Amino acid sequence: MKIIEPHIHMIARTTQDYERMARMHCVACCEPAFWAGYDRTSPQAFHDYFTHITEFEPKRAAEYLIDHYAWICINPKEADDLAFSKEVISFMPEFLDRANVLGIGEIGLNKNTKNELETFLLQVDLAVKRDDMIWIHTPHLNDKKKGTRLLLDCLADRSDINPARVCFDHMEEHVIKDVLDAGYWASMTIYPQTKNSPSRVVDTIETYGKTRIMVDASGDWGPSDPATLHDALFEMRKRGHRQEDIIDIFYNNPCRFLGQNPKFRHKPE
Amino acid sequence: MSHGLKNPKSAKELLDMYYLQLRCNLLEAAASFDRIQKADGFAEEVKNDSRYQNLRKSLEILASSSKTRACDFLNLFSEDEK
Repeated sequence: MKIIEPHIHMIARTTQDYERMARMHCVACCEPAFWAGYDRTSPQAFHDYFTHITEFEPKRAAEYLIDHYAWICINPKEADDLAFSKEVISFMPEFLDRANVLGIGEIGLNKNTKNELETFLLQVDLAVKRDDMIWIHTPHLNDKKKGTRLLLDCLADRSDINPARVCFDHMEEHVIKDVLDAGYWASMTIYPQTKNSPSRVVDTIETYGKTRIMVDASGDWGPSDPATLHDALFEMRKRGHRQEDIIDIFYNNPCRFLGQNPKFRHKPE
Repeated sequence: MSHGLKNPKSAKELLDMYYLQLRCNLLEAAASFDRIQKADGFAEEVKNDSRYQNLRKSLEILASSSKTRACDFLNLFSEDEK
């Protein structure tokens, strides 16, 4: 069966990972803009980064018959300097119009600061103005619950946001219900230590079902692995779940969410 | 809110599937607590460390009969729950 990787930072991965993903029947992957492991020293560095994920990565992925898509933003970890953020946001439209870009992301919160929230809202406003989709990063570890609540609260009163075109990522057991209840999509990231395990992802699917739920490996420069997506798929098989449900989670649902942007070419089976 | 996907396996089948992994995970936790406790400097500073205290409290969650232990565990480690 074909699968789609909804969230992975291929700029931080080797070409061998593209090869492994292709051999595991991954036909498309999505690369949200993120923190590089260090703070960029100028807005121009973001311009270079956006150029990389909209020009070079699609070519690298195509060598392995994988369609590469991107999301553009200033990430939450570098969003605390408002003047810096505004400068980056000023040239984002140039990249949002590119052929492989699906929307604005991964925006959100890191340490739940006032400035992070303001930068988040500036980018939400840009998405609304352009009718772009949104991919949201929720904070790590101890800050996740508070940050997810803050993000939900500040979007709750906005009639100009269609929750069906917004995905909250890095969901875990204590936050996913509120996100789904509010009508948003929810994606669960599998990391060896700090987010979900393959078995917990399947537990959550068994609790909340498969509607508006995706799974991602969110591979980057830290402990992570594109193959964990396939570990979760295999976990569903081991537990005896129906093949049609597995296809829904790992292929059809990404097609349903991402396909709301006509640039995304894959369709549900 | 949609309904969940029913786990096709019985409780006995799941115990068979996960027994060794679960035993391994719990044993690793036991050994980790031993390691910290036997090391030089195991004193109030460590015992009062909120991370250590949360880890100890999480054992009560594991030993409870709640059906939402994973959620309860994550709530224990959430900033706004303190």
